Amino acid sequence: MIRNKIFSLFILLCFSGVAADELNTKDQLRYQSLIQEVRCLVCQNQSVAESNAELAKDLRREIKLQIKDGKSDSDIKKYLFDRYGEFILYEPAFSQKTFFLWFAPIILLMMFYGWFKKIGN
Amino acid sequence: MIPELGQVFLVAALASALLQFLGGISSLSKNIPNIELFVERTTAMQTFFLIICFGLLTTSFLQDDFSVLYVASNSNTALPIAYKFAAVWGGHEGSLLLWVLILAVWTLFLSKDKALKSLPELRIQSLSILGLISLGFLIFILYTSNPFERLLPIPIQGRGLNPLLQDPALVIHPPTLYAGYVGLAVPFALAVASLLTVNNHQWAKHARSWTILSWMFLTGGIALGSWWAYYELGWGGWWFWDPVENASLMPWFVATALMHSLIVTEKRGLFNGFSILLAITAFSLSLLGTFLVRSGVLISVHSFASDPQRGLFILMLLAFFTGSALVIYSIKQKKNRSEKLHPFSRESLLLLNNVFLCASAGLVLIGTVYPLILEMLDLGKISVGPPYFNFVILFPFIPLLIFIGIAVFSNWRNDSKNILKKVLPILFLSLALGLAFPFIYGWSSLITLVGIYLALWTMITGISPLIRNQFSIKKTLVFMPMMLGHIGLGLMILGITVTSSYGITFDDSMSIEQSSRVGDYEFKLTKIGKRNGPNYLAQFASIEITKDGKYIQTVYPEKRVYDSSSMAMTEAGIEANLFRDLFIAVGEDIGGGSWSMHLQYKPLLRLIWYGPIVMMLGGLIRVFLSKRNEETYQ
Repeated sequence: MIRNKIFSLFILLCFSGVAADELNTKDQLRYQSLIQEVRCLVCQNQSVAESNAELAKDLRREIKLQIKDGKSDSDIKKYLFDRYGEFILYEPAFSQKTFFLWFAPIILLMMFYGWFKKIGN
Repeated sequence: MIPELGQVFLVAALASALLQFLGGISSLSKNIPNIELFVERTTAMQTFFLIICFGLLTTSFLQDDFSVLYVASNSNTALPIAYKFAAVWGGHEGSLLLWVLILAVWTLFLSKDKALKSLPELRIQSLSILGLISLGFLIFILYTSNPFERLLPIPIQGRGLNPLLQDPALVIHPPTLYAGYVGLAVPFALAVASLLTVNNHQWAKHARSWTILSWMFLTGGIALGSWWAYYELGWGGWWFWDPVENASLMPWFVATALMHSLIVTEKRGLFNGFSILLAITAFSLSLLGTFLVRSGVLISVHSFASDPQRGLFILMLLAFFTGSALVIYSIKQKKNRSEKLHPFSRESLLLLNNVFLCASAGLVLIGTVYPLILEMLDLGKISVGPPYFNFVILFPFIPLLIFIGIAVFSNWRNDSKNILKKVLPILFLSLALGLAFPFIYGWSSLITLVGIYLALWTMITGISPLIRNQFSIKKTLVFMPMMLGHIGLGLMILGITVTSSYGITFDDSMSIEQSSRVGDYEFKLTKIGKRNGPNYLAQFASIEITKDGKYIQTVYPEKRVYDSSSMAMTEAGIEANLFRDLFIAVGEDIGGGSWSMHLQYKPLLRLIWYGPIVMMLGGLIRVFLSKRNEETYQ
């Protein structure tokens, strides 16, 4: 325990920049799930969690900073949306043009249930 | 000389496919003597020519013949010999050649199917249709994607194979997946041939084994791809809902539905039209998959070899085959024999679940093409990714898994009155067993618990015939395919649920002799250095894993830079057993002797791949062992 403390103090002294970057456990979880929902815009089809591109690194840093600043997930998503457009979010926002997309499960299940009824008789 | 020979044999294969098609189709209207033998021979010839073609292209690769454009673009002298074989299908032209070769091999096997010989008309027409499909793709290859095209001036060195593809799994992943995709052409051909000839439900009996075989390959191919992505793409994900993955998942859903629908059509003569439509849809989705992968119309990690013009050609083939099959269906299909079904009869429940499987395929299709459609309509670019798919797939899948268990207890024709009584004990058993998970792993969420319950429910109901027959393997052999299929599915669902809910991902900066903790596990960086591979330079780390002070394993994750590409490739360090995976990937040098490391703890991850293996085993037993058994049983 004490050794750990000394160790972290040592780390703090050596790389204060790095150490200041660390998040607590709860925020780590939020960070990990958030970066998986954000698309790397210069890659083919990768989230910023997966990509090694410079942009992805910047976005990861940005998201981490905003979490540290106490921003909520939706604040951060809104920021990214406003700045980079809706393409950046893997979860499309509900709007007029994504209406059919989001209602697809219900519509499809109803449609197929009708089909089932028709064949079944 | 060799490439020109290849060219000649490609044309010869095309000619044989043409004869195979024309011979068959012309016998539709009038009786031609010996036409069956003619179609059989041309089928064999086509396969033979394509095998030679493929052999010649492989030879060009082994000889490093860079005067062949395709070889120069996908290989170089430094490439290890095993990957020279794999490089044959590492690009667009070669993978299409593999596509038609596999189609020809399936066709050849179908022509050797003894049971089908009792229905000569069906046999001739299905071979003829397969010849037409092959013809379409051979024209495509010769017209837009000739692998034997020469290159002048001849380069001294080739460009090399995409480093992502330099991996043992790549040697088998594409052929396995293709065997599944292309194999679905066989039930398609049988269904359409049936409409054109006998027009009854006899085709179902023959299509079943072929469907199961291609379904097995498809299952194996998808699982292999997922496993490969897990250890090769470098960040420990195993499914990304990438358009290309979706392209293989859609035919899988429909093939699974077809497999089950054919049981009803064969045994009860019901749902013949539905089975035909499923067979047409399954193959159409395979073609759509080929189109999505090969056209590059989608932004995807997989589109290494893409060209819009080629995409258009495949789209035309897709429209032609699907369109004409549907036209034939609408003209020829007679009204289904109608019969009032009991809601809890086996027929009803199988139909219901097949409908859920179709809905799943439909949702994946909508999510995959929705951004494309919006873009075409000029409504802007959106992304539809994992958060969407993970959510919507629950709608068909939760009821599907509930009804799977009930269907196992149902009987043909009648409402089993005691079905609830039979099902209840198992329901309670899975609820009780499911409670163990929050105790082991902690509470996560309601949906996690539902997932675990459904997985256990699927497995226990799947195993129930064994219990009912006092654990007699002989008596349960006939149920074995169903049992293994359902147990495998349950295992997979369990793995997916537990890994996604209880897995831990942690990014940390580490320097030598420093430790990082993930869950109960301690990771210590003991060494970091560089080493030379045959055609790459690697940065490797050595990481010691301990749990409660007890040494477990040392792993060596690497980051490789291949000579042929500037992009860094991650080779993860993985320590795995049945219960959990520990995954480490080397990140960036952040200076001061520190490296960023990507650490993961993934409980029950292996089940995601063991599940499909168990499912495939079920298929294998059905095709080769219990088929005869089933016939005597019925």
